[in-house]
This record gives sequence, C-alpha cells and structure tokens, in this order.
Amino acid sequence: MQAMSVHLPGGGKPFQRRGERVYQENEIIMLILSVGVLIFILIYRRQILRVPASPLLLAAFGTLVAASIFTILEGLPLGKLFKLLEHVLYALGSVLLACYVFQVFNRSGSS
Amino acid sequence: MNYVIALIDVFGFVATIAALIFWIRGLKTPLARDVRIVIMLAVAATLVRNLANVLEWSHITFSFDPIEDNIELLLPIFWGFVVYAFLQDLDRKARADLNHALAMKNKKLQSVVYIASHDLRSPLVNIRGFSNELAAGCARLKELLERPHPDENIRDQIKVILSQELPESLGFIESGVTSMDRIIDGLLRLSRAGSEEVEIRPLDLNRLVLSIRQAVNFQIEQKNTVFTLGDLPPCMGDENQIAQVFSNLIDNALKYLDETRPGQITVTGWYEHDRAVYCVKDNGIGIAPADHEKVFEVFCRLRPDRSAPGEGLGLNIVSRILERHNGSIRLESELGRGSAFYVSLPKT
Repeated sequence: MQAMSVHLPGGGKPFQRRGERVYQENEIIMLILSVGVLIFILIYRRQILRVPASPLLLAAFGTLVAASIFTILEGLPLGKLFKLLEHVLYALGSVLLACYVFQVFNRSGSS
Repeated sequence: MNYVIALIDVFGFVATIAALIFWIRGLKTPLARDVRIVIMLAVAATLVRNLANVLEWSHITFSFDPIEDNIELLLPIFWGFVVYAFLQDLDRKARADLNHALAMKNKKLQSVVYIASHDLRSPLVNIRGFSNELAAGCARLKELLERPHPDENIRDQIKVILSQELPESLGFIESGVTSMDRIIDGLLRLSRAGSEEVEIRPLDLNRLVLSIRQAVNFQIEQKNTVFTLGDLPPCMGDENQIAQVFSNLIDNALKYLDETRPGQITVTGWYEHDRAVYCVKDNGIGIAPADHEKVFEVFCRLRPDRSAPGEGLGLNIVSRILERHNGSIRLESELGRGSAFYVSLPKT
C-alpha cells in the first residue's frame, strides 16, 4: 500500500496522514536501539555510576532517547511542537556531549 | 518557527564542533584507547547528524535526509559502545587493583614465612645441638654402666653426667621448645587476626577501654603509672578485635615505660570529619624515627635483649585488625620522650 506523504516547510521529514502510519522505519529502529542501550545502562547502573562524569554521560544519552521519541511523535498532532522539542533535545544532547568530552579528557589529564 | 529550529540546529552543530576540539585536545590524556575511539565515534556521528540538520536549511538542492536518517541509527549504537568501553575500562582497572592488592598480600605473606622460618630455625638448631649432646651423654652413661667393676671415679663421672650434663641439655631443649611454641602461638594469633569473622557495630569505646584498664590494673599499680582516660567518642567496629587493638597498645605502653621516671599513659579521642581518632600516648622510652615503620612489621622487636616479653607481633596484629576495619594507625614518637599511637576508625 502506498502511503501518502506531506513535506514540512523547510525540508522537514515526510510523515503520513491521520489513520495511516505516522512514523518512518528508521525512527522506530533508532528508538528500539536507544531503548536497548537504556536497558543495558539500567542493568549495569551501579558500575556505570562509577564511570567518570557519569551524570553528564547519562544526561546526554537521556536527551538522545527523548529526542528519538519526539522524532516519532512529529507525525502526531502538535507535530510542530514535537519537532521543535526534537531539535532542542538534539542540540542539548550535543552541548552535554561537549561538556562530557571536556570533563572526561580534563579529568583524565589532571589525574 | 523554522528559523528558530534552524538556529537551534546551528547551535547544536557548534556544540559538536566544540566536542571534537575537546577530543583532539585531549588526545594525550591517559585514557584507554578503546574509550577514546568510541567517544570519537559518538562525537563524529553527532557532528555529521547536526551538519545534515544545518544543511537541510540551506538552499542546496540535495536531500540530506538519508544521511541524517542513517547517522541517527548509528548514534545509539555508538553511545552503547561508549558505555560498554567505559565498563570494560573500569573492569580492567578493578582487576589491576585486585592484582596489585594480591601482589602486596603475597609479598607480606612471603615476608611472614621468611621471618617465621628464620626465627624458628634458631631454637631448632639449639634443640638439634643439645639433642646430640643428650645422645652423647646417654651413650657415655651406657658405656660407663656396662663396665664390669665400677669404681669411685666412674661413679663420679656418672654423677656429673646425670646431675649436670643431661639436665643442662634438657634445659636448653626445653627453652628452645618454649621459644618455638611462642612463635607458633604468635603465628596462630596473626592468622586469626586476618581471618576471624568481623561483626561491625557501634562501639562504646569508653566502656571498652575502661575494661582493658581494669584488666591491667595490677601492672599499672606495680609500675606506679598514672593512667588518664579521656572522653572517647563511639566508633564502628568488631568489639573483640577493637578491644585487642587497644589492649595491645596499652600493653605496649606499659611494657616500654621508662623506669627512671614515673609512667604516664593517656588515652584520648575525638572526631575528625567522618572518622573517630583515638590517641594512646605514653612517656616511655620512645622509638627512633628510623624505626617508626619497622615496628609494624611481623616479629619486630627493637630491643630483643630487654626483659620485656613478647614475640614482636602486637603492632602487626593491630595494623592487620585496623586494615580489616577500614581503619589506620599512625605513630609519633621520639627516642627517650615517649610515643603516641593515633588510631583512626569509621565513626558511627
């Protein structure tokens, strides 16, 4: 079955109309992979808390998982808001990643 | 709205550029290679994804969606690798620490075995030597007794052998056996100090030290010593083992008092951050700075010629017990002026 798609202004991703599929396969795979890593983190949470700057690492990963959820929610009503949130979260994740790299390499360098 | 999103994407892109710069600047840091590589992969994937996002807003007639979509798939995988690599690194470090601790324990054990065998050899040589003397005496006795007509001279010789030579040899043998018994007893106590089950609970040190003081009351009075007990804060530990620690320290303080002046022993305590610190101080003969570390070694007796009894195990047992309690001991002492042992234990 051919799904109807609409393009968002400014080069947004295609999504399907109401009543049909509202997600892309790669988005679902990404979410599954993210949830897989999240489960891995939850299982090994005690050891991960001993990783240098672990709160930053977990926050960066958390924003990535949240962003991947909003990527899927883009296809639902309030799509524009979710799209904004997705981009905000990716940007925030990038900032956290930068802070993390800075912290980890700085800490290792000083030890 | 689109301009806001475009601005956010540019901001995210700049942040990943910063992450890349931090990564390059940190190339010389002593991080494990796999950790460094996976962080680089995560940074690179985020950078490419953000770049694709930014370029989406440009007027380039090329769809960056496939790049963005594929990179998005790689992101959680790389993040998973980052976490996994760190766990591996922690595991490696934990194993290295464990190996180091094991090597240290092995070294200590080897030193104990070496010193114990050395200390056991000396009485053993004595026992062997005097057993041979004993055997020779017995042979001579047998030979004298087998003579058909024992005269006065032979009887005198037998008397000398029976009343002097044999008892003397037996005396030396007994002394050697006693010495070996003491060493073996000490080794057993040492082994117990490192293997006995520890039941950690809050301890009332005032009551504990007071009971030790009562047990050594006779020696305190005999040596005309002033024993001062301050207000001791409670700590966490095993009652029997911590009692052994203070008993050994007070016993040592009494043993090594300076006979030329009245003895003074003071036990005080206070809190320092999350630790309870106790001080057992005396005005005894003191310990030379060069021997401060040596006194905690196994079978260490700084003055073996002195009349003070013991096998030189007391302080080693103390340090072993404290090690098992996450505690520590420190010594401040000056020869001829006295010693102060500072014991640190976790507070309640």
